[in-house]
Amino acid sequence: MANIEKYKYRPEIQQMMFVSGETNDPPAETTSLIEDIVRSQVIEMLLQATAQAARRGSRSIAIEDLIFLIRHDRAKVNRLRTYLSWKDVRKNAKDQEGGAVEGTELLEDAAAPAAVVPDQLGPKMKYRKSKVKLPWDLTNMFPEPVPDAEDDDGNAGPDEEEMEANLATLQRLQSADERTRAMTKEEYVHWSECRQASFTFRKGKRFREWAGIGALTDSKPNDDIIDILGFLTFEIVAVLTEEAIKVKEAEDDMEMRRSKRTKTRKTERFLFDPPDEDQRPILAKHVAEAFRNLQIAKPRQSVLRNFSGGLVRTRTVVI
Amino acid sequence: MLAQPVSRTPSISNMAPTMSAQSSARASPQPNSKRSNGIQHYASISNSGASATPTSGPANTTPSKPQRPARRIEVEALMNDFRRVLGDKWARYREVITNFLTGKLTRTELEEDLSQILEKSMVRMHNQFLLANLANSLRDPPPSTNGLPAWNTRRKDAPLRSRLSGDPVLARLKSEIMGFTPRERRRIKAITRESGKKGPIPSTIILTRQARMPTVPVINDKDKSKTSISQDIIQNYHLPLSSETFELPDADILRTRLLGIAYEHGLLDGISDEVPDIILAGLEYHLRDFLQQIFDRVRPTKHKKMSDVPFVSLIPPQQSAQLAGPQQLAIASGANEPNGVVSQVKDDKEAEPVTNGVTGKKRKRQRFEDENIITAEDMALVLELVPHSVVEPSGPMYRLFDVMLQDEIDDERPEPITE
Repeated sequence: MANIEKYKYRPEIQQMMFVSGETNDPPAETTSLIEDIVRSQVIEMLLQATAQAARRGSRSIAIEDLIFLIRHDRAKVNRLRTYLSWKDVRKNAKDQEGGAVEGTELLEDAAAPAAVVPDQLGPKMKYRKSKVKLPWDLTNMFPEPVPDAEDDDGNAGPDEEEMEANLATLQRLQSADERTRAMTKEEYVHWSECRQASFTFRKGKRFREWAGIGALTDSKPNDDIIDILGFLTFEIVAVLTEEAIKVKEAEDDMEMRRSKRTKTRKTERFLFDPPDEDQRPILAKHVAEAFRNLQIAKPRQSVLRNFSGGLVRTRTVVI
Repeated sequence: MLAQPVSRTPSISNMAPTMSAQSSARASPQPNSKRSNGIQHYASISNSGASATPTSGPANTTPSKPQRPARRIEVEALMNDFRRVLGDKWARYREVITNFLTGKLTRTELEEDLSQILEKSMVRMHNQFLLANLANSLRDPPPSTNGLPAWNTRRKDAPLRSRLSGDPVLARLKSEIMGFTPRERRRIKAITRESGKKGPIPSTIILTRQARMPTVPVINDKDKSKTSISQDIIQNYHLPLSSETFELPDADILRTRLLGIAYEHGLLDGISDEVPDIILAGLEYHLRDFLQQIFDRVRPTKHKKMSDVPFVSLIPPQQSAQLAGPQQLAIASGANEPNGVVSQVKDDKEAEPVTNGVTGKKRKRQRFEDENIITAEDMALVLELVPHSVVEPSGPMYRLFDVMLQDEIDDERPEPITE
């Protein structure tokens, strides 16, 4: 189909897939498809964010516009906020200590719960962390500032929903933990490098060109927006990979059950057998199916039409 | 000094008697009454005279049939006779009349000139001629606007003969047509371009057939014409349908079909190479969505593998209309749960009919296992629940609802004994 040269982010995508659970080398078709999906999602996000900003009466996209798009996924919102606060910390630390914060690159999956951070940095850092205010949050709906239920470190205590949201994050961390448990030092170094793969880190210009941002918005989005987009694109690839793995496993299950039904069984294993099931990489069709599963419209979008039929205009769901 | 006016057509005969009276007064003093009678006489002659078609002209009292316009008088024959009689003086006569009619000569001058040209015997012909022309001028214009060629020519040997006699074909045609009765000729004249067309055909079947026939675009721009367009369109209609092959179309079939459809609708530049692939991807996506809707809504009521509750199947599996679709597709989209539904294609041997004489219980158990079948009834149910899962109701949907459904069968019904 399209020539391979126009796909620029193959190494990054490969690294991200590796981190999200895919052990084999994905074929070029898979990474091309993922790149296309990510690009269309970025475009969709920018379009919707621009519309959101226009509704506000502003011409430029703000951080809140982007976060608004993913507001239903609280885990992701929390991760994003943590990521942004890390950025702030890094900036302030540089100003304060002359750039001595070590570990120059922020971890993409900086999903450590907020309570852990202050312990690592020391007391005077924690108050520099600015949390992005979400205008649609319940606490911001009152004209007076609502006092949160505060712990000693000044953060709001987790409520039920947050705990559920953190669950997804924790699960991810857990699976990463299991994977890296058996790694050697070199493997772990490789792993941590792959974890830092990003679409936008230090490649902002290339990213802007690739996404065609000039054609989408009048105003040039600032670097914060690009960083957020980088974070979100990593999330997209991770989610796609996880879903695709699920699809692939289900398919393999089906194959096995069917092969059992027709009573053909591999009785012996020979030395030169083709690779086993777990050696099969994720194929493009798995990714396509995963994407489709993620795009299923919620019933509320169609209920309003009273089920009377006709073409329902669906919006592309931001993963 | 006007003669008693002809009571028939006062407007016409007002002028005519004066003209003829004055000219005749010069020529010879004759009693006016005779003149006017002559006028009437000649007028009536003209009716039955040279013209074959009866005129409802001055001879009639009033325009007798107001709904039918009066016919013109055949002036040409009159003119030719008159001309023959006049001989050499025709040119001069013609000139005089023309000048008078265009206003260059007055009445007195006209009479002076005419008295030199005309002799006594010609007066009547002159009257006739002028009267006929006058009468014609009040009626509908002639079908041919060429005028009388004989009037205009200056040569002496100009066609004294009738214009039709020179053309044998036309002459024959005319003689044939004149052989018809007037009613026939009237009917023939009434035939127009719209005759015979009865208007829109009310039959739905014929209209449908006409609508479904392939339309070939007409290319006006001559350098862009391709000879293969109609070929491609017809090829599109020769391809096997997916409902015949029980497969989704592959890229080649799809490309041929898309090309035909594009040409039919006027996109003469054809389609590019990636189009069939994209459409195939979209088609798969759409089908998977739709199948997923079905599985989501039907599965909870079926496939309780762990439960012993015998549930009512809508139809015994061997008689159910089964979803035709690629097995892979169904499996893949139902792959989210291990108890996935196996949607069977028609040639699947696992849906073998149960033989006769099997007891009800065993049959139930076997049916239980074979219950992982989505039937057409399930599909109809889902389409009722979620009508927007397809873009719009179409032919196959109507067929599903009208034709393909079967009644529910209770568990309690005794097993039918089949021959």
